Parts: sequence; structure tokens; C-alpha cells
Amino acid sequence: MEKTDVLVIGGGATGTGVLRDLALRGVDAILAEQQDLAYGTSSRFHGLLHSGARYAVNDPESARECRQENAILKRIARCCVDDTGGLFVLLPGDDPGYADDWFAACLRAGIAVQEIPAAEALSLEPNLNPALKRVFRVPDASIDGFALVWANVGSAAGHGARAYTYTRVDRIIVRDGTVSGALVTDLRTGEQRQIECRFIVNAAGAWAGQVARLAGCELKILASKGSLLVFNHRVTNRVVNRLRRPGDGDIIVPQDTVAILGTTSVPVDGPEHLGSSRAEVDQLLLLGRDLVPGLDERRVLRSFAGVRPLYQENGGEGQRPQDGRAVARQFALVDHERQGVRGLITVVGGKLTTFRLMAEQATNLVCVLLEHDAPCRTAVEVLLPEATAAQVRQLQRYFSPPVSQKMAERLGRADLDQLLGILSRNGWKRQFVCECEQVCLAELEWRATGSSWLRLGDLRCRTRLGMGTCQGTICAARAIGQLYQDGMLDLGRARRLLGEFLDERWKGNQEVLWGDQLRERLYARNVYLNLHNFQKEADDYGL
Amino acid sequence: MDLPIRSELDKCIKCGLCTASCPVASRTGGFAGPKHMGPEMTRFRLDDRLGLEAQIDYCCNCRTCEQACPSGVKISLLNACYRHDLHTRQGLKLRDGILGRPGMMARLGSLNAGATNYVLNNRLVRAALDRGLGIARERPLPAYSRENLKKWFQRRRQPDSSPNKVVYFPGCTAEYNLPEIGRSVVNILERCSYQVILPPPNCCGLPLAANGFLEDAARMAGQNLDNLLPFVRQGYPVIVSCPSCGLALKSEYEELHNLPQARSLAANVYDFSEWLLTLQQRGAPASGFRDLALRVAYHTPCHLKAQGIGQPSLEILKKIPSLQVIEVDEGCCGMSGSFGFKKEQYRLSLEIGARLFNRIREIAPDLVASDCSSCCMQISHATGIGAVHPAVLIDQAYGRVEEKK
Ligand SMILES: Cc1cc2nc3c(=O)[nH]c(=O)nc-3n(C[C@H](O)[C@H](O)[C@H](O)COP(=O)(O)OP(=O)(O)OC[C@H]3O[C@@H](n4cnc5c(N)ncnc54)[C@H](O)[C@@H]3O)c2cc1C
Ligand code: SF4
Ligand code: SF4
Repeated sequence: MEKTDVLVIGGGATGTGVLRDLALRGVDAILAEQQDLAYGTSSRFHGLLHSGARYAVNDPESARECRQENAILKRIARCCVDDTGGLFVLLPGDDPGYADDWFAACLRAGIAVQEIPAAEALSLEPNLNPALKRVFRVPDASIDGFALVWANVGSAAGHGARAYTYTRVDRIIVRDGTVSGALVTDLRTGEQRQIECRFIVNAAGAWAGQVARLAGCELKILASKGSLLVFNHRVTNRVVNRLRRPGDGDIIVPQDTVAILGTTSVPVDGPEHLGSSRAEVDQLLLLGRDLVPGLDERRVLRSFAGVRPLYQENGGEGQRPQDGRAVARQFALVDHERQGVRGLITVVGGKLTTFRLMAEQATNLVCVLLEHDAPCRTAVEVLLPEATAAQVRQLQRYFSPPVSQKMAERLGRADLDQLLGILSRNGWKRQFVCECEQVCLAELEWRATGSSWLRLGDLRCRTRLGMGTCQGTICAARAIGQLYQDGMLDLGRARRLLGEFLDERWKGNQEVLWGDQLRERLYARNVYLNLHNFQKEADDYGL
Repeated sequence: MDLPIRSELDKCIKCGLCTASCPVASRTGGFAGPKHMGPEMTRFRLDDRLGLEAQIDYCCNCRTCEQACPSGVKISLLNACYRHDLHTRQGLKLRDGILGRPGMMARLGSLNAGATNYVLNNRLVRAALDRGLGIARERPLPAYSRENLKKWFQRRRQPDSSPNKVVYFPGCTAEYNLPEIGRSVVNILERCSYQVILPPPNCCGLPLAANGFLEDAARMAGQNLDNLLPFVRQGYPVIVSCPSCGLALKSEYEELHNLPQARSLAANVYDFSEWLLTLQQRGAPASGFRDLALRVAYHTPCHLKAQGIGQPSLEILKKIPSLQVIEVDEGCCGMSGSFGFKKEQYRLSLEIGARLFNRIREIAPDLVASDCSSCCMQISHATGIGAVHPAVLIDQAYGRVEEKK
């Protein structure tokens, strides 16, 4: 039986953050994630590395936490942060008095806020509503949730930690009121096994209530769903917030080649409500065009939703807040000893921006209980060494400067060495599988070889394969063909994976089918049904 | 400028037909093709931290891609903006500035055409231009005419003024380098009972835009709008004999430069043969053609195809008795205005046109006809066979003998 000191449940930002923190402090730890890493809210979010400004008025404590973590992550996590800067824009019709209160609150929270002339804002971001009244600069940035989670795990693994994906925790074993291990199921094989441990950190986000219940503990988590729209291109180069009391559809975040508009806030029963409705899509478009006129005519690639876990201190007794935003967004650290289970702690809520701080406090608590004396180093140790200038130069032997730059940012130093290795052996693997996002054969091969359980969706999250304009039309078949040729799949599995991938892409497209995106999807349909003769798979998967 | 780019790139469905049809991408691995350079890289380029790819200079601006695109993506618009961004960030080349201003160079060159032509054909001078500026020494330079079109036009006795008037925009070539084209056009129009008005000579601006000088091109376009719109308002059509000028006037002023009133000009611009064919279809003197015993190979220039008006010259040539016209349907010639002059692109430019040249050699015609004088230059240079504008042949068929000077 496998043994460890601490078992971390949940492979989102919080869980992987805890894993890394434990590993850097020399504590032996294992992480179990039921699906692939970042399956939960950590990839189904807006991608905003908050400066704190959004919370300055309503939740000054959160604002201060965000401000500190924002600065730390910009330092240690440059591999996943795009330091775009952010703007807060006061539109005509919005309360001008709020702007002054907000400005004062930002200053109180120590946020570097600066008003700029409207003309300057419009020259920085020519697509903004030209009628805007006032504009403020804040240190918002854009953060890649996938990259962050893998970087955490990569760094933890470098310090001896283990992370298991597709491994669901089904039971928490409690002996004499003390946690002694967990029963996990490998979802790939259906096999069950036991992991023995002294502590469990429940970092299961919106699932945290369910996980606590596995040990017989009660934990009130309210679930609030937020929907987001992905646009075909970067609508703005900076994060744009609407300056008013936080509401729906008031933030646009540039992420790599796309822009994300969000969000809505709808109370839901549990974490598995991952679709967004057409009504939400329409609502977002209507709101978005206030910030950027014509935004509702730009091409939307997909819609998606995430679920916010909102912790309720004293159970909330059956009541549901109308708006999830009214519940404080600070996080909670719960030691379940007071419910009679020693060795189980839950860390939940907060924001992705504050994941490191949440992990630090959870790890502090674990270390106290373990009587292990070691300081936290996650705020000072760089997460993933960046690509060197020499590596970028080498990349430019195969790719143009902008493509090399993107690849170097996406991969980091260690992975880039692997990639360059493959390219130096097989120069032809510079060919692109995914042209929209410029993912080459070598990158696909490297990611596929590295993963224990191959699914196109997982490769997508690691490379951006299929995330661009064509949503997999061109690249899915190419990628599967190449993996098959490289002997990584048999035919049956290749067909299944292709179907599964197309189905997943399709789900996110369903609510945004009009105009150019509709044409694209019809084109995709013809490519797969008529060109690739994919009728059987389509029937099997109900495509 | 910003918004049009965004709707263009949103239209793309990633089918790749554009790249499959691009004459440059199929000849060199150095150019990833219009899909990549257009809609794809534009998505990356919107992130202003990222560098740009110099390979956009390989695009010869032939616009074959746009005709192939099922989504109507204005790829050349994306490319022109890309080139402009690249060059503003990296600095523009003197050579491209010169090649982008054929009109200005021609005005200088024509001051003493004989001397200029002599100097430009000197081997030492060519070696210096090659090394110093990057203008391929193997490439024959266009000669400058002793008498430009405007001087000829003014020298001639004007025929009686007719109630029917047309404006003729000759562009740089028919003005300075090959005024015989302009003379033929004027003769034919007059034969069709039109009084021809010549606006002040000016470049259409397309070569500037193609070389990354977007602001200068827009200024040029503005001047032409000022020159031409008063005539358009009086209901006079504007005739062009150069397909690139035609494309600039018909589409670039509006799509690329976004100039107000560009549309009302565009709606009244006609390619010379397009206009003549319409006249003939309406019963104008098509019958007047004399025998012209020649075997002629006709090549359709890319920029004429891009106007979507069919092949009016070919149709007219076919009506000339005894003239045997053979269409050479082998795509781009590779010259693309200034593209083929550039040292680094000279060889590629000939490779692009190789199929066309081979086919012409097979046909072994007496002459090649093509509406674009840059195609004509390239074809003559590559095959050794003379190439002329169809207007010159049509003029002869109408019975005119070129006056001796
Ligand atoms: C719409 C929306 C937009 C947001 N935007 C932002 C933003 O812009 N900036 C920001 O900072 N924050 C944002 N947030 C908040 C942020 O995304 C979340 O706070 C954060 O991602 C939570 O991370 P987590 O690791 O705690 O949870 P999760 O990422 O959900 O991770 C929990 C993991 O536990 C796994 N799990 C569950 N049960 C089990 C089990 N039994 N066994 C094994 N594994 C299990 C799940 O599969 C999941 O992967 C947003 C949230 C939403 C909903
Ligand atoms: S304009 Fe011509 S050369 Fe340029 S990308 Fe299009 S087809 Fe290729
Ligand atoms: S032909 Fe048009 S739609 Fe197809 S890839 Fe090229 S630009 Fe896109």
C-alpha cells in the first residue's frame, strides 16, 4: 500500500498550490485529482489576476490579499502571467459618485491606481466605448489557469511530490476519530486502491462539501455558476473592467490569442452545472457592447461556465443569496477536528489569484499539526524557470519570431529543452498540427509522450491545440493521425478519442451558433462527415 | 483601421484554399502563405508584445488568394496592414520607397529620358544599384519615354469637343514609360466619339501600399479623389488601362484607406477593355476592325482577375479578323510590380512564372498581349517574346498607324 504524510484532494490551483508548498517544505505528499489537472474551476474561470481593485469597495480584505498575491505571482509565475495591465472605465449612465468612493478605497487598500485622460485610454485601446467618462489604470493582469496548475505540479514533482490524475477519492478512512488514509479509484482502469496518510487536505473547490462528507463532516458550500464567452481574437490588449458596483458582463480579459468576456452569476445545486444558456450568452453580449461597441458583432468561438464555491460560515441554514457576489470572496480554512475528525482540513473559496496564500495558510496548519518546522518558500521561489534567450534563438531556427516567442512562453526552460531535442532529431516536426494556435508536431509528441493517459482534450489544455478559430476542425484529425502513426494509439481508441474531442468542442459551440461561427461549424461538419467519412462515430457520439 | 481588420479575420473558416492557390507559397518554403500571414498571424499580431514576421515581404500582392477564399476575407487588406506595422516598427527600406514611387522616379527620369535610360542600362550603375539598394541587376529597368503622354496630348490638335466625355487615368506606366499605351487608349476612345479628359498625372498609390507606405498611399489616394471626383459628379466615367490602378481606384481607396467618397469614385471606374466591350455590346464601332495577321498569346493579369470583370480584352481581341488569340491560363507571372525588381526576390519571381513562360514558349506566338505592363515586362524578359497592351493591338486593328516622331 502506498504511504505518504499528506494526501491532497483536488488538482486545481489550490490543491496543486498546497502540494507545491508541502514539497518545498520537505513534507511527503500525494495529490489525487478525479479528472485531469485543472478540470474544475481553475480552468473554467475568467483568467484575471486581480489587482484587488474590483473588491476595493465591497471587500477590502480580499482587495488587500489580491494586491499582495498579484505582485508575488507576477514575480514567481511569469510563465503563466501576461502582465497586460488593466483599466477601469466609467461609462455614461454609471454612477459617477461610485468612481470617487472606489478610487479612495483602492488607495486605502494600497492598490497602485492612476487616472489617465480619456484620450490616452482610447489611443491605448481604440475599441473602447468612445463615450467613456473616466479611466483608471490598475495592475490587473491575465493568468493562464492550466499553465499555473501544471507549473505547480511540475515544481512539486521536482521536490519529490506525486500527483495522480484520473484518480478519484471515494472514501476517507477515519480510525478512532483520526484520518488514516483514503480509498481511491483509478478511473482509467476501474481499479480501487488505498493510500495511507496522516493528513488530508480537502482542496476540492466546489466539490469540497462532497469530499468532507466522505469523512462524515458537514460543510456548507454554495455553488454559483458564472458563464463566459470566448472571442476569436484579443478584443483589447489590457484587462478592461467596468467601473461600477461589480455586476454581470463587466470584465474583458485578453488571454493569449482570444478575449474572454464575463461573467454571469447564477445559483446552482452543485459543481457539475457546466453549460451556459443562450439567455446568459445574450445577456453577456448586450452588456459587453457597452464597454466595446460592436462587441456583440465580433465572432464568439464558444461559451463555457465555471462554478464558484462560496463557503458559508455557519451553514447558511437553507437560505440562498440572490447573487453570489454578495457573499464574501475571502477563503476559509476549516479544521474538521471540531466536528470530530482529526487530520482533515478543508481550504476553500477565495479566488485563483489568492491560491498561493490559501495554500500557504493550509500548509502552515498542516505543519503545525505535523510538528514540522519549515518556512513557506512559495512566495520567493520561481515557479517555472523561463526560457533562456539562447533557447529562443534556437527556436527561431525553426519558427518565426512571434511564434517562437509564444512557444517559449508556453513551455518554459525544461520543456523547451525537450522540444528542441525532438526538433534537432526531426526537423520536419516543426510542421504545425494546429495552425490557429501554432502548435507543432514536436510539441504534440513531447506532450503525448509525457502523459500517462492520452486524451486529446488533455493535450489541448497543455498545448492550446484546438482552442483557436477552427475549434478542432483541422487539427483534431491531424493530431490523431500523427499519434496513431507514432504507435501511441490503436485504431479503435483513435476513433473514440477523436469523437470525444469533437464532441467536447461542439458542446461549447452550441450556444454561439450564428454568423461566422455557424459557417465554421457547418464547414467542420462537412469535413468530418463527408471528407473523413465519420458517420459511424457521429452516430455513436450523437454529434 | 482597427475594426475592419478584426471583422476580416473573424470571417476566416480556416479552410486553407487561399494558401493552396497562392503562387508564392507553392514555390518557396520561405513564405507560409496567405492563411498563415493573413487571418492567422493577425490574431497573434493583435498582442502588441509579439514580434512580427518579415516573410510578409514575400507576398507579391497578386490577390489570387482573395479570389479563392470562400469567406470573402480581404487577405490583402490584412497583409497591407501587417506590412505597414512591420515596416513602421523596423524602418522602411530606401529601395522600397523608390520602387513604391514609380511616378516620382519617372518624373525625374523623364527630365532627360535619353541620359537616364543610358545611365540605368550601364553595367556599373546596375551593379551599384544591386549592391547599394537591392535592385536586382539582372532585371531590365523600364525605359523612360522622351515624350510623356501629357505632352503628346497637349501637342495634338484636339478633335471637336463631343457631348460624350470620359476621363482617362493613365497611371505611371502609360504616362511615362510606355505612353504608346496611353496614345492608343485615347485614340480608341476618340474613335468611339468620346472627348477624353486627362487629369493631372499622378500615381494611383498601390505600389506605395504594397511596399508598406500606407500613409503616403492614402495621401496619393486622397489627391486622386480630389482630381477625379469633380468629373464623376458631372457623370463622366473614369477609364484606367492599368489593372493595378483599376484595383486601387475600384477597391483599395475604400477598403484599405477607408476614404470617404471612395465608393462613389469606385462605382464609376472602368477598365479600358471593360468599357470598350460594353460600348461594343451596345453597338459601338466594333465592325471597324481590319485584319491583323498575328498569332497572339493572351495572359490575364492577376489584378484584372481581382476586379471580377471577366476577360474583356480577350473577348475584344477575338473579334479582330485574322488575329489568332490563344489564352495562356497559367496563373501569376511573378513580377507583381515592384516585387520582381527586388534582389532577394528576382529568382523567385521568375520561378513563380515558370509555368506561364513554358507554356508561352510552347505556343511560340508572334506577340504576347496582357493588360498589365509589369506582366509584359516579365514575360518579355523571361521568354524573349515581345509583349504589348491589348489597346495597342486594338488600335492597330482600328487602322491606326503609330505616328513617326
Ligand atoms: C466564472 C468564474 C470566474 C472566475 N474568475 C476568476 C478570476 O478572473 N480571477 C480569479 O482569481 N478567480 C476567479 N474565479 C475564482 C477561481 O476560479 C476559483 O476560486 C479557483 O479556481 C478555485 O480553485 P480550486 O483549486 O479551489 O478549485 P478547483 O479548480 O475547482 O479544483 C477542485 C478540484 O477537485 C477535484 N475533485 C473534486 N472531487 C474530487 C474527488 N472526490 N477526488 C479527487 N478530486 C476531486 C475536481 O475535479 C477539481 O479539479 C472565478 C470563478 C468562476 C466560477
Ligand atoms: S496576394 Fe498573392 S502572393 Fe500575396 S498571399 Fe495572396 S496569393 Fe499569395
Ligand atoms: S481561403 Fe479564406 S476562409 Fe479559407 S483559410 Fe483562407 S482566408 Fe480563411
